[in-house]
Amino acid sequence: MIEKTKTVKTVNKESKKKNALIQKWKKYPNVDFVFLVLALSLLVIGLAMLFSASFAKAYSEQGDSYYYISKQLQWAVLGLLAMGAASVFPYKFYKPILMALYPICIVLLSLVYVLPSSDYQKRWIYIGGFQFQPSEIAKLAVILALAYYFSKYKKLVRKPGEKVIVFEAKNFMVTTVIPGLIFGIPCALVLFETHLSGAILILGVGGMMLIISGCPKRYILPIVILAVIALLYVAFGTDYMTSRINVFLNPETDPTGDAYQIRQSLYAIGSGGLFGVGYGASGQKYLYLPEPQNDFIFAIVAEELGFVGVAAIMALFVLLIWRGIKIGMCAPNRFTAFIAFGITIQIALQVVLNLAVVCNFIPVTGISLPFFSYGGTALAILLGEIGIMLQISRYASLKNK
Amino acid sequence: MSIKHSPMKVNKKMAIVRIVVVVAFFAVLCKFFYIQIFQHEEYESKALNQQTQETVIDAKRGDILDRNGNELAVSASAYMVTMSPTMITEEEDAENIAKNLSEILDLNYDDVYEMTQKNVSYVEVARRLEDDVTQLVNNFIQENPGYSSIIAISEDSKRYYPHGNLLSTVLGFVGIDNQGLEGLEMSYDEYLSGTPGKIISVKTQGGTSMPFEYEKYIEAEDGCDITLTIDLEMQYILEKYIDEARVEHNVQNRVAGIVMNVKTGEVLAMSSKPDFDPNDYLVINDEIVLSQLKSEYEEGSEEYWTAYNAMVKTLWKNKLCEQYEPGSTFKILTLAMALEENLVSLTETFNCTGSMIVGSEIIHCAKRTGHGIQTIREGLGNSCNPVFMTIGARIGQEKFYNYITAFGLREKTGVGVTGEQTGYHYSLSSFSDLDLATSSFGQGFKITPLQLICAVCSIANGGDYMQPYIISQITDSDGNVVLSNSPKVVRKTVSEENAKLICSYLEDAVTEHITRAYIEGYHVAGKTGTSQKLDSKNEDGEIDKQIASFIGFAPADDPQICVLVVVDEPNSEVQYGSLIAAPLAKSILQDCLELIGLEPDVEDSVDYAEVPDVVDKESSEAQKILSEEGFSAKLVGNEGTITHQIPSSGTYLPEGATVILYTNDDDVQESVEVPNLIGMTAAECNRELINRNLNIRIKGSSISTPGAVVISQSVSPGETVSPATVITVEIGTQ
Repeated sequence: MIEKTKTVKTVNKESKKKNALIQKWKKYPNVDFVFLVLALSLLVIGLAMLFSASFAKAYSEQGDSYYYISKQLQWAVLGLLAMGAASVFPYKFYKPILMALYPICIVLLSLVYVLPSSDYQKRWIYIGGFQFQPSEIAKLAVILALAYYFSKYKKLVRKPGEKVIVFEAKNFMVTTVIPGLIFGIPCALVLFETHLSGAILILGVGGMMLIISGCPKRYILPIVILAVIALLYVAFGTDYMTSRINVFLNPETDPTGDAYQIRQSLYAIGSGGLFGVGYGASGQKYLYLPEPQNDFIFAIVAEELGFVGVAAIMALFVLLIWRGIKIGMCAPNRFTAFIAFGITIQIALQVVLNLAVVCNFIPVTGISLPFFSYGGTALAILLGEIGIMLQISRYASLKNK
Repeated sequence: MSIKHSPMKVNKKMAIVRIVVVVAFFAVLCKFFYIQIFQHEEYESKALNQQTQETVIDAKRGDILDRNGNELAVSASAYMVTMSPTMITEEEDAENIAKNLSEILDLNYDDVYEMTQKNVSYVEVARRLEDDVTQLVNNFIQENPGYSSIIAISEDSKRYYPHGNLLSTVLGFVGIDNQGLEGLEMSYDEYLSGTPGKIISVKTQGGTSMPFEYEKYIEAEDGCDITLTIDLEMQYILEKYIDEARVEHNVQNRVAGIVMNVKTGEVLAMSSKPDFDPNDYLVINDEIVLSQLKSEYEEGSEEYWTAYNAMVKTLWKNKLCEQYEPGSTFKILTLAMALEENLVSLTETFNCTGSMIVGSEIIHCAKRTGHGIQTIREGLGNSCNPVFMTIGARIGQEKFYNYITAFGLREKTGVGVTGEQTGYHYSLSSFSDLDLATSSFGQGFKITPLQLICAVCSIANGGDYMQPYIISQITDSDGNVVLSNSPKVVRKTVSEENAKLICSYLEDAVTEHITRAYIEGYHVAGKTGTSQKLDSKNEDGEIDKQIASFIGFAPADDPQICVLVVVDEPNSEVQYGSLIAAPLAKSILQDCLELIGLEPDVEDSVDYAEVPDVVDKESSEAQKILSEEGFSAKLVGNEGTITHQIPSSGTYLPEGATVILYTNDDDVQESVEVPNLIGMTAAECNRELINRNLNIRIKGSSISTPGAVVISQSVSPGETVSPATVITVEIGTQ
């Protein structure tokens, strides 16, 4: 009997524990379903379009039409797991991991220069049969580091008797130089890997976060000027970029050279017309458009789904971004607000820059399209970021804003 | 520790950023809208242009057949070799391919090498290859399996003319791309060529095949077959004799001939030589033309090749439809006009003094000494110019002009061959008396051989001008008739009665005068012509070139076949139509009549012989010579030296006919009146004619039937004729 009651007691204890957990889960605020649905919709559409865009190239190069899509699906599953984990566990639990990400990232970016590489652009790290771009992690690391910094630093107040110049120097250091270095160092490392697109994104996201942070305008202006000068130098001072700019200005010249890709992209988009040629029916993906599974996947989307499809997918992206920034605006604290804003603005930058390149609005930069472009690590990290967004959304009082 | 979150300030900035993002998206969307809506067609066509590859499937070109289905022009299958230069990656391969293909296909190495360097996926290397050469290319591919994706052999078709030069100027030929370039091949190209099909396939960049590739197959529609009215065997007959005549008479220009079905207007055979072999149309294979060229230019010199190439092109043209001066053959039509207008009586006599003055000009007869007194029938037989100038003057300009139109001599006949010319004749306002005089014996204007034969056929068949045609039927590849011609009467030219009369006069002309065209038992009717080429003078300004021609048909009582031969510039000593053109036409006519299975009229068979010259011989000797030749002699006057004979030497007479000999010129009888023979028996008739110094020719199948009497006579009673004229009588039961 005693035994019995004991077991009953332990059972009760366990069930009580369980009940407590359930109670706690029930009290746990829900994720933002709007954001979740938007993200999953884009993921599904993205995967479907990747299959359509890549099968010809996959068959031609690998002998297997499913080569790209099967790999991408594996990574998507991994990414969804990361997303689930990130959205369920309170960020306090993985905050240390995230904080460690920045130093790890700096080390990895430096390692690229040391490790032997088969790629003429030193941007990949090979571990066994596994390869990844540290710049993908760098984007997230910079967002987290900046968010952390902006949530910690104090607004300086000029002490009585302190010289203006000293105060200004201190203030400039704290509000601008330190955060500038936080994203400037990885940005420079990525740039010198000649990974221009990665550098542009880090610069863009970091810059946007700096502007939002409350950094005085008088400091930002010189930075913007410097950035413009740097961009101009890269654009016109290096052969790598000048040829791309020439292509941008004259896509019809030089049919097989540099202009080939953008020209083929325009053929694909133009062929789509209003309603498109139909899913799977693209003609341009048959090895005419180089890399149809990657940066130029949206040209195939435009060809197959037409302007209607283009507008619908862009609408989904705009809604996702709108909602993401809203999550940032309603975030419970400065740290999460900056994370949410940073992640969202990074997605927004990537999408806008990618689409602008594909339709020859701006010169070719090599930025991939989130949810659509082939690339396992990028997709997994993206879904992890979506998980973080969802985690933040639990504590954001979205209905009020 | 942490500073207070100041959401208002940050949120305001975030909201601004959010708006900026939306604006950026909208800008990009506008660009997409512009490309997809406004530039849609431009980019779509460019994309399709690079994605699709069209492979043309040649349609089988239709055959050209003769009236019995014999092949005159056919498309035989051949091969072509094509190449995909974009598939060549190694320079070494390009050189190897260029070297081997140029050797096998007998091409220039540099040309083939240039093809390998092109940045295209399809180049035709060589077309219309025979089996043996194709096999060599195939072996080369087999030896180098890597080239199987670069070099391809596919079907092609080659035009083939089984009979070589036969009918070549009418058929024409096709060029390297199977496009008709001359003759029927050109004018009926749209029927013959068919519609090529194509395979539109979507290819990947580089032309490799894909598992998802799309292909559309549009079947080729084969060309129509054309059946001509030409009879292959008659064509062979015609060309054989034309070739012989060209050599025999050393003809400088052309010899043309037409054989026509009198009743239907169908062209049975037509040829004009020199011509060419459409299988090898850039080469002159005519010996006479080649020797002319070699005599004029140094062989192999630049001038020689210039002249050679110019000559090649002229040989392609169909000279049958070129204008010429018809000469005396035209008298048939002048006679028809006069008879239709009732301007001449059959018994009326004309006196030919050897020339006639028209206005201020003296126009001579062919016989300068004159034909003397003669009827219109004799005038036709003698081809007497003054007789026809006389009746021409009676017809007058206006009526003559109208008949020229009625006989279709002002417009193209529309027979269906290329290069047909219209006739040239005076306009009514410029038609002088002199023009009328020369026109009435066929000089001073030009018509085409085709126009003349059509006009004469209208008389031969009883007055119906038939639309001439050479295309019998066009059938598509499924056997459906697309176009079909049948005999069609265009207009009436002469009355049946007059037509019959002219036919019998023309038969007499052949029987009595143009005996070189006479065919035993076939009742040939016809007329010769010897015209001067007035617009072609030699270095001394003399008109020395002539055209000898003959137009004839048979049988005269029911004409089936009409033949016209034109010998342009014979270079032999004699240039008369009767000596050059008549025998040629006779050979053609005889073989053609036998070919159509027309049995000769055996009862009518009479051997003709040339009357020997016995003038200045003793009467006894003369009689002996004549009897040896099979003639009987009738001496008028006392025995002695023969001063005159009727008919004169060189004339053809039936065997057993009587030659009248005179020892005293005073006895020479100018003319004899023909008695009425109707109702007499053959024996009575014979006696009566001999008494009057006339000869008899009996025709009719019932000659030995009891009670058979003369039912018709070739010369009407009361007409005056010269002595020894052959009077043909038909024996039958009444």
